[in-house]
Amino acid sequence: MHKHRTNCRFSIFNFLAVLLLCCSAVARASSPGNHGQDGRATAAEEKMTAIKGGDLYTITGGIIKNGTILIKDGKISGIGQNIDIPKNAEVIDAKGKVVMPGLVAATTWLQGLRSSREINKIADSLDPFDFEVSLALASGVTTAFVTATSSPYRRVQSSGENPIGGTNAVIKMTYGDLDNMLVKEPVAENVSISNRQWLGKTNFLLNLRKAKDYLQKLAEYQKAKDKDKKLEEPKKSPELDPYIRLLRRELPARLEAATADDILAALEIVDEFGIRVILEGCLEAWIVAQEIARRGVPLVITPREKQEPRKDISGPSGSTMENAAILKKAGVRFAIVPQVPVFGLGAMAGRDLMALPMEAAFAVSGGLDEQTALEAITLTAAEILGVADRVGSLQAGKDADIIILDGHPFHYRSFVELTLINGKILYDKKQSTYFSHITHDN
Amino acid sequence: MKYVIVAKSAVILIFAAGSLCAEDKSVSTRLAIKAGKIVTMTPGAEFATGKNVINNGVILVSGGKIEAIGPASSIAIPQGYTLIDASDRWVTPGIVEAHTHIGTEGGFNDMVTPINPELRIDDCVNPEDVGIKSAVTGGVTTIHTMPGSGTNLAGFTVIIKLDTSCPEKMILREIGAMKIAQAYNPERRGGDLGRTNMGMSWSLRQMLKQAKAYTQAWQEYEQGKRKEKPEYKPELENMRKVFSGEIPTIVHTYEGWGVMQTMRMFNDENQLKVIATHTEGGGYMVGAEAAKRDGVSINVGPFLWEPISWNVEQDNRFHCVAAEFYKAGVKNLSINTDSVGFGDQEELAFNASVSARLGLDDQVALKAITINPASALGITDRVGSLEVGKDADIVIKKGSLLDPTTPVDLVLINGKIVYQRKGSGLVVKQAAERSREKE
Amino acid sequence: MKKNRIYILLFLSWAWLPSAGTGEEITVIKADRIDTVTSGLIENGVIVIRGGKISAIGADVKIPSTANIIDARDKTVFPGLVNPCSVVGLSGSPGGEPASNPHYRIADELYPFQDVYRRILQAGFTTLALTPGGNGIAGQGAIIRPVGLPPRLLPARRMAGESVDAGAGQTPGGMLITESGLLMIRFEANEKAKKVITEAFESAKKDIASADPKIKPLVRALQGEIPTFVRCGWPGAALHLLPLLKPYEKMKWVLVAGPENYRIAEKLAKAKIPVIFPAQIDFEEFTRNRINVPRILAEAGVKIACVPIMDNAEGHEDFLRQMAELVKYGLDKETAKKSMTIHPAQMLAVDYRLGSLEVGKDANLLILSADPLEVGVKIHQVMLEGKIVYQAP
Repeated sequence: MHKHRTNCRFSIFNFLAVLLLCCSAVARASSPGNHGQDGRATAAEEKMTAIKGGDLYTITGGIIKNGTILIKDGKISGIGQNIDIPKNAEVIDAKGKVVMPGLVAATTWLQGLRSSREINKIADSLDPFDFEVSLALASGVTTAFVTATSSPYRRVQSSGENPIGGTNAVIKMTYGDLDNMLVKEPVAENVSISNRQWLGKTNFLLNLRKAKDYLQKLAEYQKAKDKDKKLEEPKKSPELDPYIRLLRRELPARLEAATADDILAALEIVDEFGIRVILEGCLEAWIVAQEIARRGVPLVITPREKQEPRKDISGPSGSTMENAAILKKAGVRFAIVPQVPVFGLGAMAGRDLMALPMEAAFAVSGGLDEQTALEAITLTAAEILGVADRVGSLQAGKDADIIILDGHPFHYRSFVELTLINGKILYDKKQSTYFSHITHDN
Repeated sequence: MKYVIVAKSAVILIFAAGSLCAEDKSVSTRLAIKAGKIVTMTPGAEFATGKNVINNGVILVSGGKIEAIGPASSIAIPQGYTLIDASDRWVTPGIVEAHTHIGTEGGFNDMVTPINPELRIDDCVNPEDVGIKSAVTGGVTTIHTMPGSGTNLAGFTVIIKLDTSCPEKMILREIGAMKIAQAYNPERRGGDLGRTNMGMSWSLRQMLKQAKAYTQAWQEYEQGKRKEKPEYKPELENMRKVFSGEIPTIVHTYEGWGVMQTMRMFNDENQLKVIATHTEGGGYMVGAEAAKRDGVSINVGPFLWEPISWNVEQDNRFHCVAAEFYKAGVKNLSINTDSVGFGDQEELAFNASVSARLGLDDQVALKAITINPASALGITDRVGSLEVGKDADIVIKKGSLLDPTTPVDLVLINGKIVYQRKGSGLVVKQAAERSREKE
Repeated sequence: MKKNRIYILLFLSWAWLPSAGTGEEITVIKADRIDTVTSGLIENGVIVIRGGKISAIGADVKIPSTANIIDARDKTVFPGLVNPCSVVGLSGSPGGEPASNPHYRIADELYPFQDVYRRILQAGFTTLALTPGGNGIAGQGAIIRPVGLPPRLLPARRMAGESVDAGAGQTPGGMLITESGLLMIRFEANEKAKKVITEAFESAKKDIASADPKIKPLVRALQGEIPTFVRCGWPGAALHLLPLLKPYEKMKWVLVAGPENYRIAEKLAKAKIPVIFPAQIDFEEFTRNRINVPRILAEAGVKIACVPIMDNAEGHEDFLRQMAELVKYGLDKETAKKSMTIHPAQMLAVDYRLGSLEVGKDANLLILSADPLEVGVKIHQVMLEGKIVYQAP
């Protein structure tokens, strides 16, 4: 009898304990949050991750030596030198390493988006299994600007008739995960007013003026319509929509402008219409740096691109490695990309996005300060793409897109050892086959 | 034929005439460089032993040559020497490029027949080529520039220094090497004779046989071992330099089978010094074979790694061509840019940096753009390292040549400043100035 | 033995005649091994076939006295193979931009007297689903017996506009088992393709009672009356596809996949989407590492059906060897067998009559020299609905 009672109590206790455990297990299993690559809600979303012991190149707040980053739910939840790490946090040891925000490529040509069919919406065609995504992760590039074009040499799906065309987007290199790949679409209007497309610039200006006229008439109509019911709303063709967006400064126009002439012409358009503009190429920007600075126009530049000075111009012309330094001095903001913005340019190593930090390193050789050079492949690039609220620096509240390198990013021997996006490790140099056989013992 | 001989002789005479260019008398031909760190690239000396690296050193230059080199404590800087104060910088030999196409005009590909032993590109040297000016800004001082690879035997190359102030003195060696191409390019475009690899090999072997016999016949005649004077064939004259060992052969080749073919045909069968160049596409797979052969050197580039989508090992790894060859035991390893125009010749040092990143030893990477290419070309008596008696081809830069974050500040060729970067902050004190200071 | 041979010859002579219907012909097969696929292996068993259907099967089955006996001692009996997705004998795919053509029917384009069907039958395939090409909603696939018979032997019925579905209990077999066996979609990841599919199904949802030949097949697919096959080459594209399918829960989806889809095996298993895949060992991208994709999918819990690597006569003739190779490289043997019989039958929703040796199902079976996955196995006889339609020489 006595025994039985004890057993009863024990079993009730057991029952309650089991019940409690079941409840908590159910709660955990049904917790919301990102689902991992395999579709199951992984425990890591609940748990915190800490990166500890490395030199944190925050970009916005200097370098925190021997610092700690806390990551929760895919975001940076804390960053500093002496931060307490929760007991059950997964700790990544970054002792002796450089910890940086994931790199941001302000221009990228992704093979997967260069299909022969017209792509009208990048969001519907992204392939998270594209091997270029793997290469990007191995190179530390976590965020990229992409356009949909049918060939890498035709930057915009447009013609001289309609110089605005195609779509573009900012994506993250979330291998295997489609849901978190798209950040924003579109982030700019692709515009082509280069001399290669006859009537391109003419039509661009024409349409801008038409759109400006329309907006003026629309404003007048809005003011007068209550008083005069007979007034008709001004009409416009849908072709003018992108121009209206530009005039309303909803999106910037991405324009290619290599020479000083082209750049000044683009600046004139900014003066006349007040549109937001991002200039690409900008080989001769150094010649008109002050003019650019005055309008606050940001650039996407390629330090290693070379052009010999023209013999038929008595003023300065051509390229210089000091382009970036001169621009910085004048107060111009810029992002840096390589000449061929792809991942894996056949056998020509060192010239593509897999060597993005090297392009910035060359700008340093031209006199640019290191901090600005780092910004040009992280925060400034993110700002130009309109996603700096999420990426581009190590700050609490931003996405945990982080790379850990075995040396300074501008050192030619440095490799990315780990790449995290949204707090998840998507690349580990030791596990990947790409570079695990390359170790620097000396 | 006759016209060609006359023309060539005229050119040679002009060169022989010497100082037709105005010497700039205002700059002393005697220089002293105070160096924070000198990396001499002395062959045989390893970096670690201190023989190759001199901290706080001095180099004396006179008459275009290195007069003295050593620690500052052991070399007094004489009066009358222009002083370059590079005590916060590195000083290295000028960079040697063993495979490029800049600096010439109209010499690219003569496509009529696949075998052209009579052609030579030294007649096409163009000192005005913009590529030369920009190359110097990257510290490149000597280049081996060549006809293209559209034919099997394109002709003969030229080795030039990139000091264009006196064009007549640019040529270091007017017949640099015999240029051969054995894979890909000549297959596509080399005309209908010997279009396949088999056909190309046949044509080449015939030419080599012929040239070998011609060389031997003339050697025997000149040594008195043969009474009958051999027939004079001007189109084979330069081939004699090849078979006498005076000049090497450079062969554009790819892949394992290609590199093997090259080594067999030129080194094994004909005992020629051969530089196998490009070699990517799996050439490193026969690296051990290349290492065995003293007469074979490897010149890698511009393709520095094997892309994972078509590498021979199919292991999803990026294999660095230079590092793999070095691992296989190849000692004479050099790197090129294969520059064809404007914009990449000056990045030869960066190609070495990329190779270093991908696994090649740093020191080997530096040698690969200085002493090793010089050795492959047989011009180490003049360039490739900083040693007494050699040309004063010197590069001054903050930090290693491999570091992309610092620019080249100053370049000397034959003891003359050919490039000085604006804003470098390098102080160059003329001798007169110095003596005034002393007073 | 001799007696049996005569009977076999008799059956051969009757093979091409349409069966009269109820058929009191009784055939009995005695075999050392009867592999039912769904209910295990019967040793020294007997199958009784009446009217083209299996009426009894087991080790202790009574053999009717009037039965024609096929002696298959030393042999293995196995269900006839089912290929759920093929374009053999059809004219080429139209290609082009994604469009919605649900009214297009393969059944209207059959050329039954081609050699290729005979060869496929002799290779052991007693059922074949022919699917339309074309991007977007390509049309309706047909399920056929690969025999050289006119598609339908009931012209009167056809003229009345009715769909002929020689379903349960109906005879005779023409070539067609069913004219509208599945809805075929070919998907690529782009805005237009997604639009075409969503618009088509949304409009069908609003119009369920419609008899419009462009809408009715969509409705049938929506209700799950016919399965919907989607050909989708790349796992990236499949990730775009899966959310599209979510709102249509009643639909029976089947994915016709490309090799890289092993990367989303778990997602497919979770979405409970069966996969049709070629019976091939692939290589991991850029390497020489072999991967057995059907095995990866099966082990992740995905129901798979395997089809020949090359969709032609040679491919079908080589199929059993291809399956044996998959097993050699780790695919579970039982899963392999199911993936060429009952799984494809289930995907085609014809498992009520095909795909395994069970009472009530069609007597579609193969008499083999050994287990079907033995390398070098020979097909001795092929039986289609109770008749021997192929006898190996």
